[in-house]
Amino acid sequence: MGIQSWLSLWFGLSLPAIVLMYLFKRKYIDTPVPSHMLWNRVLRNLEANRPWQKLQNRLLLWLQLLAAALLVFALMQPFLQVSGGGSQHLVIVADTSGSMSAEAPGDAAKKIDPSSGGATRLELLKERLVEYTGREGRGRDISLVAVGARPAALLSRESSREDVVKAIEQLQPYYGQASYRESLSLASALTREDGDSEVVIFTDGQWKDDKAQIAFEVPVGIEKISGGNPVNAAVEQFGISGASGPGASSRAVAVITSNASSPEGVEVSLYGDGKLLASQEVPASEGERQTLSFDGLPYAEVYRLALTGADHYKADNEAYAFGYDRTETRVLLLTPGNFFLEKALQLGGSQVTRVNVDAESEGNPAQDQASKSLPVPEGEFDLIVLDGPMPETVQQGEWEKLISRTPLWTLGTGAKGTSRPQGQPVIERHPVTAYLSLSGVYIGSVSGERPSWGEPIVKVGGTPVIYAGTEAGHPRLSFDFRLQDSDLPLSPEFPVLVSNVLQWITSDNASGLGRYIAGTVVNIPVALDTVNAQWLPAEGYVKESGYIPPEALKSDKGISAAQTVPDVPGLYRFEQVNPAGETVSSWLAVAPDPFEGNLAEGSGPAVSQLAGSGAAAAETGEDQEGRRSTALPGLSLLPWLALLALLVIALEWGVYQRGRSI
Amino acid sequence: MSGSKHLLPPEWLTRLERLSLNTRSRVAGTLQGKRRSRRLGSSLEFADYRLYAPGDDVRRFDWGVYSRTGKAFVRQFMDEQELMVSIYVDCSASMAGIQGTEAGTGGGPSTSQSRAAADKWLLARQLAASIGYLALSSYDRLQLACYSKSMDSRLPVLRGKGAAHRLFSHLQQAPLGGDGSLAAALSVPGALPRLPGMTWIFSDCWLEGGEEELSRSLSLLAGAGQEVVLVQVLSREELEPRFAGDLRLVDVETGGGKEVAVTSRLLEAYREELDRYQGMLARVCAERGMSYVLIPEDMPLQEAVFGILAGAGLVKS
Repeated sequence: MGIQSWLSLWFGLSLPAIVLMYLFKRKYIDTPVPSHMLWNRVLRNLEANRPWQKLQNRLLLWLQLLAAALLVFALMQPFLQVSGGGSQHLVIVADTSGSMSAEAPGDAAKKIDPSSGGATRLELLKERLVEYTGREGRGRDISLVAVGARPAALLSRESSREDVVKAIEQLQPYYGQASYRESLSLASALTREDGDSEVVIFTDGQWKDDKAQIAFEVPVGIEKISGGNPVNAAVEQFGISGASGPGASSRAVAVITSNASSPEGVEVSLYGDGKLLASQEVPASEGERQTLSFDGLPYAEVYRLALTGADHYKADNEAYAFGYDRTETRVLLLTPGNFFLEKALQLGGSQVTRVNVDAESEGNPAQDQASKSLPVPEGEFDLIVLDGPMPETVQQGEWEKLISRTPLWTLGTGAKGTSRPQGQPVIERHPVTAYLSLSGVYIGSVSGERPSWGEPIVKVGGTPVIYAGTEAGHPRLSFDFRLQDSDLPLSPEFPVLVSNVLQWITSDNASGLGRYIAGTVVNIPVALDTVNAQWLPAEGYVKESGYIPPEALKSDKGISAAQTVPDVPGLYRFEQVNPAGETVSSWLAVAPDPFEGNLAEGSGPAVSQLAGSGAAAAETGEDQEGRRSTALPGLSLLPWLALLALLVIALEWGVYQRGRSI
Repeated sequence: MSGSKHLLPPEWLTRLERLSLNTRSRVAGTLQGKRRSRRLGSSLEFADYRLYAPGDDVRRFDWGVYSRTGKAFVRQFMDEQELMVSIYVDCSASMAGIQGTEAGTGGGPSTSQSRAAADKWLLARQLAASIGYLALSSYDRLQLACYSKSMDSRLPVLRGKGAAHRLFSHLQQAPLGGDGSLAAALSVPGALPRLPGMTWIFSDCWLEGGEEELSRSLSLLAGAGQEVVLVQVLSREELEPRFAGDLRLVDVETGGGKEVAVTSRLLEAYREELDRYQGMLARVCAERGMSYVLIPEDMPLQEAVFGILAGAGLVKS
């Protein structure tokens, strides 16, 4: 039983109003009595003419009050909560976000075999779901929506009990950013044109708050999986700094958080390529961040930080970082000659290999022969800088291969433009533009060519002048003007800019591809000749869970550079195989969504139900609280109350016709 | 006209003639009546013989016994004396019943009132006429008065069945109206019977002063040597009121009103109060060795007389 509109309780004031009207009614019928003396005595004893005395025996009054009360009650829009109240289509939204993989401590876990290390919330959810669908879902069509990277409709109007149970058993936690809102939206859409349905959300209450609520046209229920009060310590940050080559030492910094109410010792172990490098016991308590640093670490390809101790959520107990394997950045500079640029690159700590390009060769067929002879330098480079217009040869053959597998910075390689941007520079947030203002920098002309791979990061007066992005997993940076046409090299910010560029280009230069949140799409440098690629779980949580990563994504040109990171946290190897059978593998660490690690007791999703079929109910903040608990399947009592009120009014009419009172 | 209709049915009179009033008190009177005195006297009823003593009435000397035995005996006869019967009929407005307000203020005869109104008044007069006729046929002295606040109309002392006509017509034409106050009426000089005897009061006993007033009146009558019979005649509405709703209860006599919302609880309380009042009346009467009977208006006359009055030992055949 629930009330939708408590505000209508104000109409209840009509009841005392009716009573008042009866009280003030002064209509007495003169009745002569011989036994007045006796009446006098009776009244003296009883004090029968107290005001409320005359309200006692008034059938009409009581009927009117009853009718008014019924009407007020109807205005409050009551409904009965019915379990499985006849709706034919049951849409179940199962919260399979990362927090569901947390172990449920306390009583809830006792039911499950203790040897398996306690039941996770997901196991409880499966148990509840199987039981719920067995109880409530009999003879109804069941749709199952799982909250994953995208809402997945695992079942659609399924009536076979076996299939339902099978689908429930196959639910897996998703550690990435779960699609909370989208799942509700899907459930809402599934039931939109179908009044005879019902939505039930199974969740541990940890649901991302949503400003704009999804409105449902059908009853919505929330079944909470009690998660107990789990303890979770998490690695919030982990990084390796002080990059140095093999033999040198580096420094690791980690930030540990915990939600334990009492300080609890957490053992932090740091491994380098599988070998224990350092270990430390840290007291962690709620709301405190412990920053740890490990100095003098030997070089390792992969550093792993692991927490051991009482913990109910294991997915975020590990973090990985990758060691830097090069000290100096090697830059290949193709330029007709630019002293400022070369010096700035050297200042940025890079080893510059300069290739002179004749600026006058452009568009001159007579010089082609000489240009063709431009040799491709030996070795690998971290960055290729193309300064000014480039001859055709640089875009062909060996050069093209080299450029395609190396980060590239072009400066004014496009056609000479005429437009002269004026105005204040607008700078987007980007590693390249850090610490820069570029105020008062003059730019002579821009070509206006817009590269397909990137976004403008600096605009002057609305004209994009610097683009940054990635192509085939390699960073690309383009200045749409020649340095010769600008006073940028004279600006004191120029060395800063070049240093930024070098840092950005080489930031990926660790031995691994980086650390990503599960399920995100990343750009992975895929070699052109790669014929096959695969994800291989290497270490950590993913090994324990026995998860089999999905196949690498393929585009029509082969292995796609945009790859979706596997769903389970841990360390992976992305292995590429070229036709010769050679394999190139790179490390990639997958971390869970930090939101899921915050295992505090949540309140679950806020859902609202549209009143009736059309009018959207405007939700106010305080209304939500009330609705949250009452948004269960409801059977409106409105028509019944209206009928009852009509009956009472008819009765009242009968009484009115017959006489004044009882 | 009320006169055309007999107050009492003719056949009822012959049945009444077989009855007589039963009185416990000594009967005294100046004239010889039909009532047997405890003293020996001059009636025809033989009582005993005794030896003649000089000075005895020679008319009672039994010559037959003297001639046979030679002893002088005188016959003794029962003395028969008359009874002084006073009848007071309440003719205040309340006797008219519920619809009697106009009659009460107008003061006209109310026999043509609606049945409910007429019955109480009618029954009271019928009972008074019956008792009066009974007394007349026993050669008792009868005096009758209708009272409200004072003695409204009184008949001179009647004797003999021949006076029955006067009795009936007087009752039939008795005016109805005014406040009823027995104590006030009796305190009027000459209102009390001069001789000891029997007094019948026919009233609904709705006295403003309640049982105190009644007790005072009964004391007056007791002081006058009266054996009092109080007959309370009540209508059905007074016994079991069936009111409902918001009412303004107006006293038919004083015109004073009281606003009241009638509830079943209130009616219950009324019934309890009525019971208590009746108990009080009975107690006041019993304390003085007097009789109290209640006769509801819807009781047939025959049942009232043979059932209640005879049952209470007030009337005997």
